[in-house]
Amino acid sequence: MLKTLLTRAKFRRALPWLVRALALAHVLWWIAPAPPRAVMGPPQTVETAHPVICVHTRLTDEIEPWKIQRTLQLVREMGAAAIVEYFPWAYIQETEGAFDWWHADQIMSHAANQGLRVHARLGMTPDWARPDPDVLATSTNYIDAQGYEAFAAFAAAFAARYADTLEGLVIWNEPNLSFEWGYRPVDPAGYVELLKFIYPRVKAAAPGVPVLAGALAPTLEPAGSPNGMNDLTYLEAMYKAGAAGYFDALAVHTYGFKFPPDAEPGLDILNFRRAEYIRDIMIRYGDGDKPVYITEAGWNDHPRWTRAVRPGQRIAYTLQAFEWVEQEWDWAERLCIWAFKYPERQGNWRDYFTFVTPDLRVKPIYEAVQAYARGWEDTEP
Amino acid sequence: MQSFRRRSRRAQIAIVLLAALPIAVLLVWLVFGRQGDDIFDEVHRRGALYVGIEGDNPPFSLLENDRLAGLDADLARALAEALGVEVHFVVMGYDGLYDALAVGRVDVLISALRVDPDWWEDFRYSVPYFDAGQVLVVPDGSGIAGPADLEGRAVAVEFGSEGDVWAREQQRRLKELHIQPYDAPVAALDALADGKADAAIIDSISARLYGRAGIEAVTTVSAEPYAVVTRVESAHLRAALDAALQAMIEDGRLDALIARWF
Repeated sequence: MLKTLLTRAKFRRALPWLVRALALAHVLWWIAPAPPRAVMGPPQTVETAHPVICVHTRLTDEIEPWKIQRTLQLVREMGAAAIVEYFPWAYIQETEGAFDWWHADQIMSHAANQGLRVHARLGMTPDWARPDPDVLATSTNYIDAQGYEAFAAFAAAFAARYADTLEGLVIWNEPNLSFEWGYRPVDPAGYVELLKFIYPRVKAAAPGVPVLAGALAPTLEPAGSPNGMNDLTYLEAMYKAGAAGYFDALAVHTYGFKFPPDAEPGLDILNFRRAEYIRDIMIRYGDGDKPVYITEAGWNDHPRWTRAVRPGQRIAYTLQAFEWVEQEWDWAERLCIWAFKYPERQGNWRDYFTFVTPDLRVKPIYEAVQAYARGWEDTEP
Repeated sequence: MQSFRRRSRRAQIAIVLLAALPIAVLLVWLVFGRQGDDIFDEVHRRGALYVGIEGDNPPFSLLENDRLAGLDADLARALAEALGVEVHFVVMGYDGLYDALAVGRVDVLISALRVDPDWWEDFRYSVPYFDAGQVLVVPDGSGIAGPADLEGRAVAVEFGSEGDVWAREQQRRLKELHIQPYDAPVAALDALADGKADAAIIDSISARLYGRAGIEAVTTVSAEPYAVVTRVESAHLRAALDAALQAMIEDGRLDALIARWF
């Protein structure tokens, strides 16, 4: 039938048009603007009067190198000296024995080029390092003793590869929450076991890279809660399980919610100065010489989220928090604010934590922090 | 030869129809395929429209003498009446609204929710019933009618707000624009009313609620429409709600409701 329809004569008549269409498509393709390229420029340095300023970036799902570069450029121009970034193990070592460093290389090389120091948060277990799903269904946040050795090897490889740019290696995220611990009851001793595997291997591979433990979620979960464990309780349990010898610094999460940064802490409330209770525990267990890196903190200015503040308050509190850390917490090296930018709009209150929109437009808080960091006019919080 | 051509033409038509069939099926599925939700009939069977509402977001929703009141509550009652059913409010926190609709705990959300394309996969929005966007507010008779008239002027904003962002963008476009940031929308409007600023860029809710005379919102500079939310499958219910809302817009009942609460 096709032969009947497409006679040779018809084809001959159609051929010139086909050739023209192909030529036109070729010309259009040729003149189309090239996608933006991320050409590495000369090495930059961060200009800041407040090196404590740091931000948690969200480049994990940022695919285009030019956006990674532009984001880190904006971080540097704002005057932040360091970033925290998440590097999922499952993305880098999707198959056992093979590493795909391409995306991590993009982030680390551009960060280094911008003069930024990096805290790499490692987590997310690949399928091959988790139990057979036919035996036990697990989430990507699940890791057990069978996976510790492989995770330690990955952490060591990561530390060795990026030692020059790393300021710290944060082991796991918020293990005191059930869902961050693979939807199991949380297990401080189990987490310490993980540290015991990782610490010597990272030190052997990259002795100068500090290993950061903790990164606990501030939470008031009551004893026996299926959702998680109070962060203070969890940290004490970590020390009792012998954690002290297996990390160089503690990563701390401390959000302000509705409170200003100087609001008095309390055991039954969550606010910025809850970090002081964390510090007290460190001192009590003889770990007072170790520094703290606040790897998540901040305020939210969503118009209707119950834990949000007004936009102007968010800006003021953020600047006051930097001052507080500099003046009151000599044990805290960095204050990393969550979050600099999301790759995509979240469509909810999470968007109101950011400094820059997904399309790279800076918000007033960015300009306020920049003015403060760079020592420009009107910088008083 | 004639017979061959006729057969050939028929064959061509058959091929075109065969080729078009999957496209037609796809189009039909796209238009009607996800409209299997018979919630419209269910609402009428039970005689009540279940409305998810925040309950604590004045003047859109608030408790007044133990009764839910506010623009959203009144609008929900009016829409339910147009459908010929009762309204049943399900009060919940802002964070739980979309989840409650997704799992069918409520039929609609009427809770000062802005039209958000990010939810488009699962939800649809009605005709907007309120615009909460940023407005340009000026003193009566100032002669300022729009952004172009702000050259060289002092503009009051709430520090860090959407209005602040908008003003900073204008500042880059105009030769001269002085931005005066204030802690709260009311403070910015006070500055305007006191003659300390030539204009203010403020969200329309704050502007409408501001009590002092002598200033007026002259134009919207960025829209933020609020609408009734339904599940994507609830096409019949959505059509009925749209028709009722459209009628309220056309006969002035919606404006009267808004005027009652602002």
